[in-house]
Amino acid sequence: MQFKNSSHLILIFILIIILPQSLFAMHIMEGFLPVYWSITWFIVIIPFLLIGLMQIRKKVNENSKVKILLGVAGAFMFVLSALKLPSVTGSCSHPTGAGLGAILFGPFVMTVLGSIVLIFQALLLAHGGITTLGANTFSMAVIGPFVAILIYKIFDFFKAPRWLSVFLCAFLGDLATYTMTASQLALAFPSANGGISTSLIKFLSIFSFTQIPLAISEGILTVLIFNFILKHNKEELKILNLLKD
Amino acid sequence: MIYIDKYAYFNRLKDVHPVEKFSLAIFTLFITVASNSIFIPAISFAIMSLIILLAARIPLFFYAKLLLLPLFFLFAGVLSVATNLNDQDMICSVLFTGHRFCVSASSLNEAVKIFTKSMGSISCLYFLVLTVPVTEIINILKKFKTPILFLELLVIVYKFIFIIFETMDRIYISQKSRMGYENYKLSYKSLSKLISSVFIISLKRYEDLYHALESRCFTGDFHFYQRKYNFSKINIFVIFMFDGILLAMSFFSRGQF
Repeated sequence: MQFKNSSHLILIFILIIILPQSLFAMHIMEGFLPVYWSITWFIVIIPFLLIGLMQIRKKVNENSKVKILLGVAGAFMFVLSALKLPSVTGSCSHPTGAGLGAILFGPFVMTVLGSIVLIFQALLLAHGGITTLGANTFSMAVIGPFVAILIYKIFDFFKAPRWLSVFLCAFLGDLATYTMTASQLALAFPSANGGISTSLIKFLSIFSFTQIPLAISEGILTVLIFNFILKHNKEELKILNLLKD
Repeated sequence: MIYIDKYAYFNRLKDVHPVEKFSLAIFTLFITVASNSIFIPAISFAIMSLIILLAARIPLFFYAKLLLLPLFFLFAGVLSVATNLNDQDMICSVLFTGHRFCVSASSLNEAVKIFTKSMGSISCLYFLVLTVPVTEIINILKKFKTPILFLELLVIVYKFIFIIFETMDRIYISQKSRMGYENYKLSYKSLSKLISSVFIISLKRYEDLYHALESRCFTGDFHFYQRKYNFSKINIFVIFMFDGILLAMSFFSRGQF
């Protein structure tokens, strides 16, 4: 069997049907990963979760207000992820604010919050899953925030303009999440004739349709939000100072 | 609003003990994910869908819509597993943008396996989320010695999700009715305003809640009412039989189907 001209048509047809459905396209769905990889990713995230919980515990002991503040922040992140982002290839959603959260709360606390958001996305929105929770947490709540905070720190150190460092922090944090998810899939399903690297290229290219436009729009949006809050609501941000040392 | 949560409280199985439903969903999920055949996931998909539709009485249309939700991920993932570049023992190939994408028998086999496994396990997840409310899941997690702090955060997040969701929904509707999302430029502007105002409103809500709690002698712990359920021996027997048979089948049919 060979398709030449019709293959383009078929591809376009499939994309038209499927793309409007592409909400949270990068959550690895329930049951997609083999058992040993599911368990591996759960084990990998445990130290990050424990350090995050210890940091939160320390702050809660100083002031019990922090617990509620973090709960509100988690709920806010969840609601944001249920929102549709305007993006070129259909509208997609995402645990937005991984970058923003990492700047405000620190990466380890973000891991705890991110895992909670992912649990609720599985339970309330049927996105992601229970067996793939470990893998999703690692890419979205460990790699994303850590890359985001690193980029922000670097650009802040070189005195780059605020909008640039915020944009790059959200944009690259998103791209890191997308690359990590593709790597997790590639590790679980290495290609028969090219191994893991070929498989990685396959997954990266097929998800780039939605993920690269999404990362750009998330970067722009984060800058707009950051500016808006700084301009109009500086007073309210003082509440967040509770979380700073 | 969030319909899955609504159904979790108002389905026909709402009086069944949550631990029974939880263990049915989780055991079946684990057996499905661990299975190496097409047969076992197909059985769990069929049984779970029947329970969801006939016993819990979730509307067919809603369940079908839920099943379509992860379609993009499933499609993209299965496609990447099924195709290879320039494979030798292909059974079918497509020429696209100058590259030859091939599908071989073994990769097709693996792709079908992943597809059925995902569908089977997602039906288990849907059974869990459509019949067990989040509050009961948190109660069950408590029995598994999950760190208390983590559970408390779960509870607070769950309580706040609905407050924030409602606020956001109202602002979104009013923005939309004023042509706030007509084009890309306007969408970005409206969306950034929406998110920042919801952010500020959430912080205000948090302050209000804290004042209310503190005026009622808040010490840092939350106490919630827990509903009492009764275990049913028949249900437990049926769950063990079903999962036992499924486990035995997956054990004896390893790699055969």
